[in-house]
Amino acid sequence: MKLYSCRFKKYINEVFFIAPNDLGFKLLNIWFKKISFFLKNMPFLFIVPLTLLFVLLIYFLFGKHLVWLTSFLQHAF
Amino acid sequence: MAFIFILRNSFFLIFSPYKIMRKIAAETDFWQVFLIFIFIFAYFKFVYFLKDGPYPASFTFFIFLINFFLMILFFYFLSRFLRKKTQFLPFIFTFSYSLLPTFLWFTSVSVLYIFLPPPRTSSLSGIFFSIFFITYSLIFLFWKMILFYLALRFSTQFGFYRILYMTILFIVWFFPYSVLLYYLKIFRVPFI
Repeated sequence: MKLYSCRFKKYINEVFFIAPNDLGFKLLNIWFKKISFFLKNMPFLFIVPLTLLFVLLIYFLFGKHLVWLTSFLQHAF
Repeated sequence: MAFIFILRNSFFLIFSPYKIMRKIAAETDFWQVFLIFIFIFAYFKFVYFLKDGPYPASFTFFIFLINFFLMILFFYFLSRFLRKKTQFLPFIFTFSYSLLPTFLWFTSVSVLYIFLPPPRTSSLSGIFFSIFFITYSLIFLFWKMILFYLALRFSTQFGFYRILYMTILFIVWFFPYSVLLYYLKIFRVPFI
């Protein structure tokens, strides 16, 4: 029992060692919590489709500049 | 043992970055940081053979160390100025682990350079590859941004706005510095 109590105490201290974010407005806080919920666990489920959509949009806007950017980034190392 | 911890932490940084970064901030095992730096040195050794007229790997690694510690010291002193209780160790561990997306991206790009060397063309396959490559790069960039934010969050224990202001201040000096490194042909994209 004492062991579990110690573990629980340690876990609570670990979780609450920083204060939760406060962005100043209630609505902002709600949206921040919603977005950060997706980014805290399995962020790639959220990031991959959104990034693909974003890049397709960029391609339709800038077209062949994307090809130039790829060539530049392939030399990045 | 440190190698196993690195593998485990790196794996969980993909699936639950928040939870594992909180644990990394409390780490004290310096072998992990040492091993991460060895991997990075191995990467610089590898790309030395791919570049034309490169700087020695030890030199680029030394410049990387300067960049890395300049960044850490900047954030450490800034947060210490705002909050006296700030500790230095969490900065080293969290920022070392936040190098994971950087390391993976740079390594994969250099391997890709061997199999599909640039320049890309505006053909259909070139455009498809470009869309894939930019998506792939942006995914790593977003992952890096998440880890960077979490590194600052758990090292400084500050809120979102303070972290945002600190990052803006960082960009103010780091961007011209990166341009200088670009013109000196040391890093085209900063390795941080």
